[in-house]
Amino acid sequence: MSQLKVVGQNVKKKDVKEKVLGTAIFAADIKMDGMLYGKTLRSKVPHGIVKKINVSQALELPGVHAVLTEQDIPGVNKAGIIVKDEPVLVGIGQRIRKIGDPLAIVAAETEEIAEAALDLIEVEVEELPAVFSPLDAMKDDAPKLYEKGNIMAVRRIVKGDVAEAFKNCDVIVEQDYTTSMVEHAYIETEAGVAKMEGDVVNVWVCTQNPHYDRKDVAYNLNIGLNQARIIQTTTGGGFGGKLDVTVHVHVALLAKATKRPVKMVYSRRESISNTVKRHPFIMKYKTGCDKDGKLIAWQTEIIGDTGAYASYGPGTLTRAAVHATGPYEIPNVKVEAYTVYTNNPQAGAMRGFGVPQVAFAHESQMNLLAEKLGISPLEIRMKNAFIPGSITATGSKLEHSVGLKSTMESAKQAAEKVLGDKF
Amino acid sequence: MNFEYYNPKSMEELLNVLDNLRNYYFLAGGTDIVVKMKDKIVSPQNIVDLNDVQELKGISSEEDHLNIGPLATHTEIEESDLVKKYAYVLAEAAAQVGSPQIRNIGTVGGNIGNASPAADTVPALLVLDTTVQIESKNHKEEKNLLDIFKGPGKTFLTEGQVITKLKVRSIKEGEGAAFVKMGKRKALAISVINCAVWLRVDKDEIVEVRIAFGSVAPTPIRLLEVEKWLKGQKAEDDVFKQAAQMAQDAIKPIDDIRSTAEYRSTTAASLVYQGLKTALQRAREEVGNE
Amino acid sequence: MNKKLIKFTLNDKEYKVEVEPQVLLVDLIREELGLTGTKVGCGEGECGACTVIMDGKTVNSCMVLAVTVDGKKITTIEGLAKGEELHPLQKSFVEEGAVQCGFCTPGMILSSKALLDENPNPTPEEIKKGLSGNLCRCTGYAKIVKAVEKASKELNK
Ligand SMILES: Cc1cc2nc3c(=O)[nH]c(=O)nc-3n(C[C@H](O)[C@H](O)[C@H](O)COP(=O)(O)OP(=O)(O)OC[C@H]3O[C@@H](n4cnc5c(N)ncnc54)[C@H](O)[C@@H]3O)c2cc1C
Ligand code: FES
Ligand code: FES
Repeated sequence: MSQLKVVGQNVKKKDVKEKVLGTAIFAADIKMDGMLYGKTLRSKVPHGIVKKINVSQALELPGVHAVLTEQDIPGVNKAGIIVKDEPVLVGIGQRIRKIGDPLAIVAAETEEIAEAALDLIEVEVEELPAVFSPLDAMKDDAPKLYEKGNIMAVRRIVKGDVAEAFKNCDVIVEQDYTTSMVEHAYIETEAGVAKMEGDVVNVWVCTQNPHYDRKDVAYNLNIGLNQARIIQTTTGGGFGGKLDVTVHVHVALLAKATKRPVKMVYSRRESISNTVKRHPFIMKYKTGCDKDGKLIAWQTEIIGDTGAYASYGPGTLTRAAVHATGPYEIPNVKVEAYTVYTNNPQAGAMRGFGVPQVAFAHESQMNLLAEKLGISPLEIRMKNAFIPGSITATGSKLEHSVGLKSTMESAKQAAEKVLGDKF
Repeated sequence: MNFEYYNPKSMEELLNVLDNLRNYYFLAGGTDIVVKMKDKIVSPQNIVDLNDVQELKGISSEEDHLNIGPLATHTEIEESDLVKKYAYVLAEAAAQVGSPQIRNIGTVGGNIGNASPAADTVPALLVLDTTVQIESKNHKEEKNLLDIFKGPGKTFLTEGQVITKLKVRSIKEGEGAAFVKMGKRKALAISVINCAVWLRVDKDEIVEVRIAFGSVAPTPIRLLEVEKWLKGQKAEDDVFKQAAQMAQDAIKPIDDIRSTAEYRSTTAASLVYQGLKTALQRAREEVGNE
Repeated sequence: MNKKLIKFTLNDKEYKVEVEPQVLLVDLIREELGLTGTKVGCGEGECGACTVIMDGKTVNSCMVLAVTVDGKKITTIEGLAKGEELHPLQKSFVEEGAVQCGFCTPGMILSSKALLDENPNPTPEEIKKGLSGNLCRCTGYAKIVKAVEKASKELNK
């Protein structure tokens, strides 16, 4: 290893010097001549139809340069990673699907003026019944967020015949698990600056996804991809949460409308209440094995609350389905994973992408089975762990090395060293 | 935020400013008031900065008590030799406020003036039978600390009045005290519930005791009934356990964003028990825990 | 508005500025004086990204009114290095991998500096307590504590 330059070596981060000196430029640090400040007016209700938005008073406030609504969007008024289901601004006659949905954006000389302008915008909304539990949202009589219903996507994995296989199990554990919504809470909140250069819009923004951002900016401004330039600034943490568009399209629209650079920085409150979260899961597990602890049948249903918009929902639930059975070989598997819309904040990508949630469940199942069988948690895992040649629930054959057993072996030795007899 | 800023340089100037002013808040460390203004929870027309009034600073000792200026920061209190010796339970509480940055500017006067039921120094001050000196232009009075809290965020102080001194009873031989806080994390956590205990023992008998709680009622409270019951009892485990149960029955906490009534009730009992035990141990180790 | 004239020292330089009383110290430093190394993560005292040293003690500059720093001495992250030469804490943060996204880093380093100025030989526990007002979501703290230990050794040489 020692001859390699990077692998196995302590390498200095490329931009670390600027970071310790305080000279690294994050999006909120950018200042430009003539720069305006942007703010977003957001829905206070979780579900409804916009009846009226009157911006005339806000426009009259001295220092205000633009107040934009849905009607001012030249392009598609849609954003989203996998499905374009998220409006850039919700317009008159259109549907609000969560508290915080953006209704109007303002650019003004100062943040204070921009904020004052928000208070002057008149909005009327016809409120609709809202649904906050994915289980309720799946019922036939639930308030519908979308015409095609609240079930956004279903992912199924079937291997063998679980119904038949459960009959042959000596031990079965059935258990429900729930995990909560989690905020990434990167220490840098969302921020960006946009500036026109001829007919090209430049957007400096903290992001994990510049190439996707570019499309959303271009499609919504109705300009060519070659006219939208995304420049990723030093990004103060993302953890999956900075994959979605937040300020991007808004600052671009405002810069185009005002012909001035426009900056938007989310407050912590705005960041927490309006940006994506880790999906909360409801998981139903049924797992069976023979009297020696060898897994025979495994059935899992996962319901993932993706909130008002899909974001990375279908991807997260696919990943969750694929990993629902853990690193174990099981001849009979049935997994169903639902991505469900509710009027909650939208859930997207976050560290592990659905896998940490199911890991909590499948590892608990293994412990419960071991307990019932009276064998150690390690033993049941050793008996079922993937090895080279194993076939996963999705039918992949693991051709090459699988480090699981040797890792568990090392962990065991390390634990014995520390715990001695207590292990 | 939009206010007139006053910056009196002496007590006299301060009292004159206050005499003519309405709709104001004081600025001590600002760790409560600045956040409240930013969040538009309050929008005062005037801010009176106390920081240049030297008379409001400092910690000194006198016969049977300490004089603590309301501008004493939590860090000053935590590090003060006098407090560590004669009012260590207060140092213990101040050390658990917020974070180093908050303690470095947050003051004990602000902790009282903010009147949060969760304020950490207040239960400690209550069990040290603290008297608050309140001044206005032509008037000076002393009140027991317990009597100045009206409700969450509200004191009985009227316009023109300012807290100018805290008189905190010193802990003497045969006396012991303890502060216990339950928060969600070790730092930067407002108390879910907090509790202070002080007692005096004579051999095995509890001669006098004070128990105070935060975050279980609209204001910080004393458990006078339980204190009365404990007086004259033996200082022993069984008695402490009974007292803990009585404490749990006596309080009526509520559910809020930080916790549930049920959790607070259950925890209250163990805080009283722990508090009594630690206080007794310290009483027996003589003065101070340093 | 009635602006107030304040005089203070920032990173060993004297400043005389007129400020409106509602201006926050962090905004004075970042917006008026253009030193953007001081960050804002929450705006209400919870995260410590805005930490600066004021008369030897750390404070959250997001909740200090700028008028109140009249006569005080302030150090921000820009005041640590001597020209091209990094402060021992900056060096150890680089070497120990205590920096990931870097957004918490200025605040972390300033809290560490104030700690070491007062207590040149802190235990790991004391370091953790000293940094308890600074949140980092990336690195997991262990490397940061190590970096402070390393700088403490370096400074005591
Ligand atoms: C992130 C964070 C964490 C915190 N954690 C804790 C915690 O763990 N425990 C805890 O108890 N508190 C905590 N607090 C709250 C706060 O820090 C404390 O209450 C602090 O003691 C307030 O003091 P201050 O000097 O900053 O008050 P200020 O904000 O200056 O003033 C607060 C109030 O007191 C009044 N006041 C101030 N001085 C006087 C006086 N002399 N006479 C009359 N009225 C006066 C003011 O008018 C104002 O209403 C936290 C705050 C923050 C922002
Ligand atoms: S920005 Fe000041 S503490 Fe978070
Ligand atoms: S390095 Fe990213 S928050 Fe600390």
